[in-house]
Amino acid sequence: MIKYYTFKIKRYLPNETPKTRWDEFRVKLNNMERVLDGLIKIKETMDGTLTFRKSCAHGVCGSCAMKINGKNRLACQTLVKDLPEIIEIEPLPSLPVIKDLVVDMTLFFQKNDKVLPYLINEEPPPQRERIQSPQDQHKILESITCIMCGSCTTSCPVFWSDKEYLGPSALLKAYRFLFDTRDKATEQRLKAITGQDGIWRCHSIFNCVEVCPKEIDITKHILKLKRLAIKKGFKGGQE
Amino acid sequence: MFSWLLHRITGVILLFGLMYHFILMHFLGHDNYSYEAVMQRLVDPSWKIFNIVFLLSALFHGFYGINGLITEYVKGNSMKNFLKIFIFILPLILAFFGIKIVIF
Amino acid sequence: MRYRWNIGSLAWITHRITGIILTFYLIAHIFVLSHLKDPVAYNKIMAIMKNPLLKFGELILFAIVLMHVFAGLRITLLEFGISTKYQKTMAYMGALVVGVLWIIGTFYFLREVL
Repeated sequence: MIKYYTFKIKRYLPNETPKTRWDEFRVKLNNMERVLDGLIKIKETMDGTLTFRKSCAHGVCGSCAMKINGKNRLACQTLVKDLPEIIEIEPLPSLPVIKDLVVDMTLFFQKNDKVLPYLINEEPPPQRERIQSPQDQHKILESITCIMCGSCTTSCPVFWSDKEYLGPSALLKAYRFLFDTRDKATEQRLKAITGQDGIWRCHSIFNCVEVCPKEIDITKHILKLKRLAIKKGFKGGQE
Repeated sequence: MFSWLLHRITGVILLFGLMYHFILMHFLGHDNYSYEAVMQRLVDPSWKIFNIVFLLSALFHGFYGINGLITEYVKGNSMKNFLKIFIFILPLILAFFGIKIVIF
Repeated sequence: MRYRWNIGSLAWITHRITGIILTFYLIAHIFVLSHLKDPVAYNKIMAIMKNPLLKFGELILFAIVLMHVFAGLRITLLEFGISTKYQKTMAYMGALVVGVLWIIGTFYFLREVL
């Protein structure tokens, strides 16, 4: 089934004008095609200046996260047949826009760096790899599937108003290493996330869970972090 | 961290306190909040303790919430610090007034 | 387009706004009560409180308290171990309970006035 869709795209072209504007494009798409296909068609046949990020186009790289009809999602994972005929596309909210749908993700990745996103284990390494049992892996399986597209952090109302907040994505990363049985830096990691801008700023709003393209229950992980922090706090591990 | 936990605990205290407060003062008729009835209750030490716990819980709970709002919405560090000091002192003053009326 | 609301963010914004109102009310409440040591002043305030407009205000306050309590209860239960699977159910149930309790409360309020 082939249908016409109207793409309303928020444009920002800093070389032409500092103002943003809305452009409309009518695109013919079949019901197997995705928003990303529409964007590619527009760029190739209608307006070559339209700028957006894309890479794998199969929901693995997380480059094409954008706000589609008022909700953050991956353009490559959103079928046009599930949307109304008018499709409104904006860049991810609350991050500085570079051009059209491309945002500056520096702040997002800085938050990620703050939670020490690497394995810390001072023990001498064994002959081969550090072994992890399937049960232990199961504990962190959900959090490992994160592709860091930025949908969750930019959907969080706390992050919109408080740019110091670590955000759901970084906290999920903290969970991934805190609950990894091979990692030994529990104290250090808890210290990084229990400050004023860490887990206590999460108010269980569930916006991040609504948008996650990998369907990770991020709030569940942050709630587990809170319980861990309280438990360790009572044992005197944390201030 | 412990202030966060205390926020939850005072929340639960307030839940039961408010239940009692509403039933007594608003649902069970006029006699409970006449001047004489209130003063008679205030003489009882268990009521004094209830009132003080209720008062301090409400103040802590309310102002911890406002503290979070300031962290999230106020831009600029000097303004933030000023407001944080202000909402630290204000509940202390209110607690003083509240405890004064309960005890004396 | 404005960012889409969902039940979680609606519960959060309700919790937040009612929380601010209640804190300001708390300040006023303590301030007024702490100046009511003698029976004359006390009875004067109580007479003012009989005003139907203020009674209506009390009903609104009751609704605000209920909303704040149940939004807070949901968050606390989630934090202390109820599965996040039930977060939406809890939000809808909470809204329902708030409505029912408010109607029951209104009945008692009005019985007192009439």
